[in-house]
Amino acid sequence: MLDLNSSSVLTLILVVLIAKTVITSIGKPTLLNKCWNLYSVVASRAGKPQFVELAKKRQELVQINKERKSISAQDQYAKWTKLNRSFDKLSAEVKTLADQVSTEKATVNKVVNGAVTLLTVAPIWFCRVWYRKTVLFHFPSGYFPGVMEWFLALPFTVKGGVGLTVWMFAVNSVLSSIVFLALYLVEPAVQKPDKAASTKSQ
Amino acid sequence: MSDVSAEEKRRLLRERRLAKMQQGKATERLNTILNQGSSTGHANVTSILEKPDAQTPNEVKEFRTETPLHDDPEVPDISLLLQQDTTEVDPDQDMEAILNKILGGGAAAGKQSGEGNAEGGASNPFADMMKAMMDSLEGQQQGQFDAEENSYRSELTKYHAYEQKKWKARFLVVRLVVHFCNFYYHFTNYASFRANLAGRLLSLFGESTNFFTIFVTIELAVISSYFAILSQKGLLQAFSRNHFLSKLQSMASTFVPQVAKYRLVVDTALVYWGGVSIFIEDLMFVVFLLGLTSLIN
Repeated sequence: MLDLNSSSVLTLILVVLIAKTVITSIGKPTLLNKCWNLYSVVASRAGKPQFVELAKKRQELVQINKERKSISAQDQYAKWTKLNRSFDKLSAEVKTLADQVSTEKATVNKVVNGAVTLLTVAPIWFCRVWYRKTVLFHFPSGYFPGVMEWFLALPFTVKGGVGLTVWMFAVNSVLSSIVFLALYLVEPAVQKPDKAASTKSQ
Repeated sequence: MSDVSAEEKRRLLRERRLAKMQQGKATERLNTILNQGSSTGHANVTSILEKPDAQTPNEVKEFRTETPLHDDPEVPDISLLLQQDTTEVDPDQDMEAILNKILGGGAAAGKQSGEGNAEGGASNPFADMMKAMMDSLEGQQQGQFDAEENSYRSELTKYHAYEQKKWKARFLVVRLVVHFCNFYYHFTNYASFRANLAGRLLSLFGESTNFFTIFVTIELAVISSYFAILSQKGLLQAFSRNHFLSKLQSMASTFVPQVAKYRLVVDTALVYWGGVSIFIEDLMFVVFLLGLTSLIN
């Protein structure tokens, strides 16, 4: 079952490293937040009582706040006070429900972290141990110097072949170049500072 | 009652006193007075008038006439009480000493600035304060200037880092495109230019091609022009200083100053290593393309 052919190993490593690069680029905290938001939406739609109650109370809170801000405290003092009291009461209830829900959030975070580890870290370490001597592919003869082929065969592969280590290094190198280009394109440009302007401001 | 009658009274009382003293029996009268009180045990006191070395009545008279007993003593001069040493202390200087103590400066006590600071030994605390204020003001201005200079330098460093990144990105795109073109040309034109999963024995024997020659030529051209441009724009330092080894060396030089003298060596080595790393990156790109094509095959 664990005896995968070289193309499968090659593909597996490629996919895992792409996933790892994507997660690293997005950032784990952002990923956890997005997963939690998705879970909240799904859970409230599925009818989980705590989420339904929390969503309902939040909606009421927004409504009361909107109504409270629309009236003048001086002109309609009684109504404003009543709304204010309701708002405070609802805030306390929302806070209690949020605390109850936060324990679920910790569970969701744990699950997501486990999934990320299972998806990105475990396969790499497994392959490094199990397929360390597997030749993933061979260079075409005559296109590379012998020294180069020997260097690219390190550490466990025969000369002329490419092993797991070199393949992972190659994939990581290409992916990091792509990420670098992508980040450069979205990065804001930095203008050259004007020394005359900075000394004028003295 | 007029003063004259008061004077007359005093004269009469004085005469009576003297007459009594001339009668003698001073000790007896003294002991009688002392025994009248609640305290006892003073019966054997000897009056000073009857002591062998006692003063004569005339001397006593002279002593006593200066300050009559029934009169209030003359009000003493208060300034005499305040002055410890009338020959040295000056009231102004005294206040000066008190002020010096309050201000806590290094001023010598008892000297005023009006007396001259020719020897430089004394200082006016006010002048000291003003001097300190001027010094701090100058320091603030200098600090402000330094802060603006530092701000300009940090902005310039950021600009250099951005410029270095910009040229790196441009050359990266050029490298990827050129090497892809070289790979694609050989892949489409040479049937033997294929990565094989089965093994080398089964692969077609390739004719001698100049794939690697072209690859190395491209690399030499790209790397040399990249570093030439960085050098021309003064970005080579940004290139090396951003490396973690350079930062590690800077940190180490704070603890071991001898490390700082190898900075130039480290910078040069990092520049050469930059060239080597570009070569390795492009080689890995070719390996990546070969791996992808092996999946297609």
